[in-house]
Parts: sequence; structure tokens; C-alpha cells
Amino acid sequence: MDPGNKKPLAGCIILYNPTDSAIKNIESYLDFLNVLYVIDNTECVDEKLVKEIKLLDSKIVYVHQGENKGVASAINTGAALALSSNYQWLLTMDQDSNFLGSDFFDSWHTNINDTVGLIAASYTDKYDRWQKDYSELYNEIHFAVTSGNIINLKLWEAIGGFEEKLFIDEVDHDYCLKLRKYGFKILISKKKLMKHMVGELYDRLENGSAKSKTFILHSPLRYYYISRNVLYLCKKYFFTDFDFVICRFYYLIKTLVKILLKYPDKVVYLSFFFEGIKDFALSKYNKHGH
Amino acid sequence: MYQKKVSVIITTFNGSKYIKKQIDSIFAQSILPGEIIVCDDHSSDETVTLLNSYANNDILKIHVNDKKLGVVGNFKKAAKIAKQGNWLVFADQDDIWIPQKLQKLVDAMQAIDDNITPALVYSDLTIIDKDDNVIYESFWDKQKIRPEKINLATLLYGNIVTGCTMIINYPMAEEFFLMDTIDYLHDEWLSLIAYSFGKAKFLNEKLVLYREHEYNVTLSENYKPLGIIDNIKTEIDYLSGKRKFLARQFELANAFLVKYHDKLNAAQIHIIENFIKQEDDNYLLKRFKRRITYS
Repeated sequence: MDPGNKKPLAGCIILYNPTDSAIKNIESYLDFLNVLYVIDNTECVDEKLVKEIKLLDSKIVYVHQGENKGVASAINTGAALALSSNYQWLLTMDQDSNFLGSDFFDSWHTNINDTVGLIAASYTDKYDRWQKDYSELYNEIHFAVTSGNIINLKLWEAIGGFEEKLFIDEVDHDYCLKLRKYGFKILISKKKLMKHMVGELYDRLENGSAKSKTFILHSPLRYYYISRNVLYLCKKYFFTDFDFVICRFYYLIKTLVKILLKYPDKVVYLSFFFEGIKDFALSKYNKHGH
Repeated sequence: MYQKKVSVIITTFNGSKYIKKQIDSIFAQSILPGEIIVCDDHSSDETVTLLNSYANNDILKIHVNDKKLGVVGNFKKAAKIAKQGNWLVFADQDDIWIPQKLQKLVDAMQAIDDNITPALVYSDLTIIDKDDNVIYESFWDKQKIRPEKINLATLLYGNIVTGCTMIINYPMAEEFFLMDTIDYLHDEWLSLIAYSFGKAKFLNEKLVLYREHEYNVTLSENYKPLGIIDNIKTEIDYLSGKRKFLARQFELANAFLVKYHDKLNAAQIHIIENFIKQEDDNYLLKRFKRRITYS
């Protein structure tokens, strides 16, 4: 294919109580898109910020969901919009990620075919053990996180989209597992192409430990979704992908130990964590408390 | 969500110079068409090679004619190849579409299409030269066209709908298939339908950068820049009866009336007959009548 003929690309960004940094992030990739669907999950929107976002460019389509319907539902909304406008590829973004230059947009469309379900921009230089060589710039991988991915909308439709009842955590894992279950490929850039802020960096210096170790600290409610959804996935893919089940179960135990040993407000975090386990046992999904 | 998908139809003939810009501007739209049908009218230059560089694109479908069909015949072929039921958007080979063009045409068509009545939506355009420099910001301003004043009576004096700004619905496409003459252009024919027994809507926005250059296949006499001397020469020709004023318009009105007599209502037939009746009137009288019809 002539490298000059790029594939048309739509994008969607999911907002939830965004800050000004969302605008800077959007600007890092807006030029490479035909259209950007801004899906706002915020209940009480910041009118001023929304206006600023709308004024960024005429290619922005703003959709207010009215209530927080979760990440999965928001991406599905964006994907349905893009598909109805005949796009085959959709960039999915969260409000905390931005791109480092244009490399991703210059290269994602080379060497791909209809069996590629998702192409991710890496936000780390490190390769994990799952990766294997695919092309000069991309590796094949088992999982990608929800932000900074270009998804194949034909396959999105074919595999039934993102699992809305999971609401937030593990939505990305579920989608990747589904893709791979049907034999589709997930690619990731070999180079670090984006910056992604996950949760808040929590500095444990005040404990007086020798090493100043920072780690990611989500809001307590997220631990409800993490425990519930990880268990759901472990159940769902128990027979199709046992490797994954082992890994995620280990991760869950690790998280629990981490809360017990390192977290502030342990009681709050633990109560959400166990509520998640309880709702998994009761098969209660969707939004917390609904 | 749109009720219909859109097919863009493009006819090419020796258009290698600008075809890439045209196609790229379609792929940069905020909504994409379901398909782009390109019918090449047996070009002898690199047009087809350039088109084939998009070959592994699912949307673009290329057809090469064995023998030359002409602009209207070729557009008709492309329209027939397009998916049945789709809305059709016409594209030239050397223009640039502004990114919101399809979106705006589709939104407007969505509002007026009832699946029965032939409907057409069109817009203004900006004229650019061979290097993309703007010559005229607004074609309508330059031609002193006020689209809100356009009706069947005014349209008979001269077409104002530019093909490369049009979207038509399927009932209109069916009328296009039935257009059995290639003496007239598709845009002037379809606009008469829209403004008589169909529906017409205009968008007062410049959605296309229309390229005017030496290779234009269809360049309407109306806006071919004429010098003062040429103008005076033409006036003398009209006055002396050497050239017939609006001759083509009378032929068009006649052909249209013959074809659609049964579909037109009494008032519309009256308007067209009245227009044709003045064919043998004095040149100055015709000019005067045209002037009062417009205002």
C-alpha cells in the first residue's frame, strides 16, 4: 500500500469529571483523526470545560451520556457512532493519556489485515513475557489497556462489543480475551509512544522506608470493581484461558496483600474489596449500588 | 444514526493531476461514505494507476470504461453501480471537499427524504485555481445567485445547482436512470425535477473547493471569464440575431416538458409553456423578462 494513503480513523475519548489536562491530551492526537467523539460520563458537567473542548475543532462531536454509564458503555457508544459513519477503525482514549509525537499514527496501518482486532500504543519501553515479534515496529501481545488503542470496528461488531456490565475495570481484558478466543490478533508498538496516568501516584516516603517507592493508588470504589470483575473473568475464561485465570487470581491476592500492608485507610479499601467479592457471589453487576 | 448509507460517485477522465487530492479529501470527511464508486472514462494518463494505489481500501471501487461514455453517461453508469437505495453524492475529479461536507449534506437529506419524492440538496462552493489559491470565495456571491429566490420559473433561465455539491435520494436516482438524453447535464436536469415535482433544499455554505483550470471537462459558459471586447461581441451577436439568447435553455425546457408532462401539475406546465413561448421574442424583451423573473 502506498504509505501516503492512510486509513481513515475516528477517535473517541471517555470523560469522567475531566480537568483542564484533558484538553492538552486531546490536542496531542486530534490532528490525526477525521472525527473525535467525546463521550462524557460526568453527571454534573463543567460547562466551561465542555465548551472549550467543543471549540477545539469542528471535528469534535460531543455526546453527554446523562449519567455515568461506565467505560464499556461509553466506548460502545463511540464505536456505534463511528461504525454508522462507516469508519472501520476507532482510536479509544481515556482523559489521562496523550501521545508522544505522530509515530503511532504514521505506522499503525502498515502490515495489518482483517485478523488484527486491536493495535495498541505502548506506554512503556519494557516488553513483557507475552510479547512476540509481529513486524518491524509491532509485537503481538495478549492484552492491552483501554487507552491508546485502535480497534477494528468490524470485529467489535462481530464479537459483541465491550462487556457493559463490568462497568469499568477489566473491560479491556475481557475485550482482548474475546478477540483472542476467536483467533484475532492484538498488536502493541515496540516503542513507547504514549503517556498514561493510571490512578494517582502515591509516595510512601512518609512511612520512613529506606526506598522511596511510588505506586498507583486508585479511588477505593475501584477496588470494588477490581475484585468483582477479576473474579467474573476468572470464572468466564476458566476453561478457555487458564493461564490468564492463574495470573489474574495471583494479581487479586497481591492487591489484597498490598492493601493490608501499604495502603492508607485500609478499612475503607478492604470493605469495597470484599463488597466486590460479595456481589460476584450474588452475580450482581453493572454500576456499584445499582 | 443515519437511515441510509451514502455512495459517492466520481467520474474521471485524464484527471491524474488532482485526483489524489479529491479522493484524500473524501477519506478525510467527518463521516465516511459506505462506498466510493469511481468510473474512469477510458483515461489515457495515469488516473487509473493512481486510483489503484488505494486498491486495498474496502470503500473505493474502481471501474474503467472500455469506450468513452461522456460525463453524463459516465455519471449514470456510476449511479447504477452504486448500492441500490443509497443516497448518491456527486464528486468531480479535481476538487477538494471540506471535511464537514458529507455530514452536512447527509443531515439535510435526512430531514427531507420521504423515500418517495425525488429530493436534492446542494450548496455553494468556493472557486480555486490550479495551486489551491482562492479565486472567488463564494460562487453564489460572484454570480449574484440568491438561492432563496430560486423556483421553477427562475431555474428555467439557467441552472444554479452545481453537480459536485449535490446529494440525491434514491427516488431522484431513479429519475436519473431514466434521463434518456445526454445533451444536457445531469445537474440541470435533476434540479428541474427537484424544483417541480421533487424537493429541493440548499445549504448556504461553501462545501466544495471547486477547481477552475485549463483542463476542466465541463466549464459552464456562465462563469468563463470574458473580456470586455468579447462581451460586446456577444451582445452584438444576440442583437443581430446571429446568436440566439438562451437557446439551450429553451431546448432543455422543451425536452423536460415532453418527458415529464404527466408528472407536472397544471401550474408547472403553464410556467414552462410560458417560458418556451417567448423563444421567438425580441432579445431585449427576453433579457428584461429574465431580469423581472429573478427579482
